[in-house]
Amino acid sequence: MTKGKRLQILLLVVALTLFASSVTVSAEKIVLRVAHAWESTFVDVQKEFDKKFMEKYPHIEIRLENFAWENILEKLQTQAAAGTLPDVFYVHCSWAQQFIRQGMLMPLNSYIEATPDFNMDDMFPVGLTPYWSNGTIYALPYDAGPMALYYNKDMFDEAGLPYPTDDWVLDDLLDNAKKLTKDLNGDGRVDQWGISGTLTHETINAPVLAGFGAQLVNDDETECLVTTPEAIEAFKWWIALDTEHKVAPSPAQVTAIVEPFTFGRVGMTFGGSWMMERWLRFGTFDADVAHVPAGPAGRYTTVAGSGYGIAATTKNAEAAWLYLSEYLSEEGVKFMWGRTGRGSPSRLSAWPDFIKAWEGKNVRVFEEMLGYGLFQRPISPAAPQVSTIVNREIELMQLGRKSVEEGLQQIKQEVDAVLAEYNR
Amino acid sequence: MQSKSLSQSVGILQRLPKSWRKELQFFAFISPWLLGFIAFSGGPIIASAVISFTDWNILSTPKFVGLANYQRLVNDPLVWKALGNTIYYTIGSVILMTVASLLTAILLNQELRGVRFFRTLYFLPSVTSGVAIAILFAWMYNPEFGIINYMLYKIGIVGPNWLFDEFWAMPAIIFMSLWTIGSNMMIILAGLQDIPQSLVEAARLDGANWWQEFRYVTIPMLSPVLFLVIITSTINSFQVFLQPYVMTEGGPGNATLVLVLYLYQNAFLWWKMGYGAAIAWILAVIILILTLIQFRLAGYWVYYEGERRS
Repeated sequence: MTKGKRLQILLLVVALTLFASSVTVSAEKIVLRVAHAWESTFVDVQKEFDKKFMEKYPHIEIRLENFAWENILEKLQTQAAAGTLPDVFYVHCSWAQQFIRQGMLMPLNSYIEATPDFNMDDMFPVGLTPYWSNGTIYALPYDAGPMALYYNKDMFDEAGLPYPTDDWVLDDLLDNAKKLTKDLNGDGRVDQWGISGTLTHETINAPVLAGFGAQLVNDDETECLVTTPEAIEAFKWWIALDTEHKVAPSPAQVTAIVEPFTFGRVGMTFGGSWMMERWLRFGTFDADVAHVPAGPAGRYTTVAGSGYGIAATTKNAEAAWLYLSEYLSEEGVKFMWGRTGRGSPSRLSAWPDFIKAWEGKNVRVFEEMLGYGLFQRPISPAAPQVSTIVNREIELMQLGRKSVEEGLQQIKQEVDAVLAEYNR
Repeated sequence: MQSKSLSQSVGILQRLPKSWRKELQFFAFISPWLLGFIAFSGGPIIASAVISFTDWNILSTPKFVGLANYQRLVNDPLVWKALGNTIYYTIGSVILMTVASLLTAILLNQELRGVRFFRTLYFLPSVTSGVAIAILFAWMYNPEFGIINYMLYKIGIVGPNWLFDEFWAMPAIIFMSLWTIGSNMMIILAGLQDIPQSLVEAARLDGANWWQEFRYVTIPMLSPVLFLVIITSTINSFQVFLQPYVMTEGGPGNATLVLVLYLYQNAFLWWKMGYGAAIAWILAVIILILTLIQFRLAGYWVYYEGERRS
C-alpha cells in the first residue's frame, strides 16, 4: 500500500467518524453509559433488557460497557480519578462504603421518594445494608446472596445418611461430618472429610459468631467484639472441627486439593448463593443446599451482594434514575434475575420465578435465609484489612499454633487499631 | 542533507574541550537508557517520594500529612516484623546463593566432556518464570502431598510442615533461591576464566595445595566479581516479594511477611498509597546504606587488578 493510499483511507475513517457522531447529536438522544460486570453468557440478557428499555424510552440510548469482575473495580477507580465514570455502574457490596466516602455515588433518597412505583417494601432490608450511610442510600441491590450449607448428595447416599434438614443444629453438623470423614483407599490416611470452608472472613460474623450470640464488630464498627465469652465459646466449637474432631482438611491439605468441595473431597461446605452455578449446575456430582445449622443462640447466616449506583458526576441524573428504577423494578429484577435463576434476587417478588428456574434444587432456603441473614461485617472500607488479620489468625488457630484465646486477643488488638484508623 | 547536519554537529563537537567531548559522547551513548529511565522510572520515583508525604487512596485528592506516614512506620510493629524477616531472608539467601554459585561455577570450570551442556542445564532455571517456580515449590513443599516430605519419609524422617510452620516457612523460601543461581554462576564462571593461568602455575610451583591455591589465588582474583555478586544479590534479596506473595501470603502468622509484601498490602489491598510509598522509601534508604557499607568493607577484601595491598 502506498503512503498516499493509506492517508486517503485514514481521512475517510476520520470523516466517517465525524459524520456518525454528528448523526447522534442531531437526533438529540441522551446517551447513557452503563457499566456491568457480567460473564459473557449473561451479556445477551443484558442487551435484551437494554433493547426493551430503549424501545420504551426512545429518547435514551444505552451504551453498555462490560468488564470482567476482576477488573471492574480498577476500571471504576481509574474512571473516577479521570472524571469519566459511567452514568450508572455496578457496585459490589464491599466497595460501596468506600465509593460513598469518595463521593462517587449520587444520593438516591429524593428519586426513590418521587417514584412511588418503585416499590422499596419488596426489597429485602438486609440487601440494602451496605448502601446506606447516615440515613442516605447511595445504591440499590439487584442481588442479595446468603451463605448456605452446600452438601454432596452422592456422598451422603454412599454413607447411608439422610440429607440435612431445616431443623439441623450444630451437633447434627458435627455428627454427620464425623460419619463422612473416611479413609477411602485404606492407606491409613484420611482422604475424605466431612466439612470445609467453615471459618473464613466471610463466615466469621455469621453463622460462626452470631450463632453463639456474639458478633465480630459492634454496629458502629468502632470496636472488635471477639473476646467476649460467647465469641470465645463460638470459636472453640468451630476450631475443634479442625483440631479436635479432625473432620475438616488441614490448611495444607486444602492448599493441595485447591477446592475440596468442588473436587468431591468433602461432604459439606459453606458457600454463597453465587456458588450455585458451579456446584449445583456444573458439578461432577449431585449436590444441593440446606439451611445453615442453628447455633445455641439461634440460626444466622451472612449475606453479601451487589447492586448499581449512579455517578455523582452524571449530567443525565433523570435519565440515569429512569434506567436504574426500571432495571431494578419488580419487573426488571424478574426479567434479569428471576426467570434466569442468576444470583439471588434482591426482591421478594422475583423469588417464585427464581425457584422455578432451579426446579429440583432446594433454593427456597436462600429466600428464607434472607429473612434471618445478617449483612457481612465490617462493611466499612476497613474490611479488606480486617479480613487479612482474621484469616491469618484463623489459620494459626487451625494449625494449633495458637490457642483460641490468644488468636482472638490478637484479632481484637489489631482490628481495634484498624477500625480506629478508619473512623478518624 | 542528513549527512551534512551530522558533519556540522561533529564539527561543533570537535570544537569543544576534549574532556567535555568525552562526557557528551558518554551521555549520547547511554541516552536511550537515560530517556527510558527518566520517562518510566524517574517520574514514578519522584512521584512516590511526594506521595509518601500524603494520605491518599487513589480516589481522593491526596492530603498532605507531613512526616505522619514515617512516624507511623516507626511505631508499626508489622514494619519491624517485616524488616526482621527481610533481613533474615537476605542473610540466608545471599550466603546460600553466593556459596552455591561459586561452587557450581568451579565445577563447571573443569575441562570435562559436555561441560557446555551442564552449563546450560544449570543456567536453565534462571529463565523460567518466577510465579511458575513458586507454585511448583509450594507443591513440592506441601507437607501432605509434596515430594520433599515423601523423600524424607522414604529415608525415615518425618518432614516438617514447611510453609505451614512458622519456623520452617522462611528457611523453605530461602532454600528456593538455589533455583535462581544461574546468572550469578555465569558471572563467577567468567571471572574464573579470567584468572591468569600463570598465577595458578606459579602457586603450584611454590608447592601450594588445592586449598592454598583456592584461598590465596582464586578467591583474591575473584574478589571483584564476588563483590558484584554479593551486592546485587543483597539488593535483590531485600526486594523479595514474589515467593511469599504466591506461596504463603506472608503466613503462617507473619512468619514470611517481608517489607515489599507489606508495602504491597498497604498500597494495593488497603489503598494506603501514602503509607506504602513511605515503606518503599525506607526500604530504598536501607538498601542504599547497606550498599555503602559493603563498598566500605570491600576495601578489606576486594583486590582489583594491578592493585597492591599490604
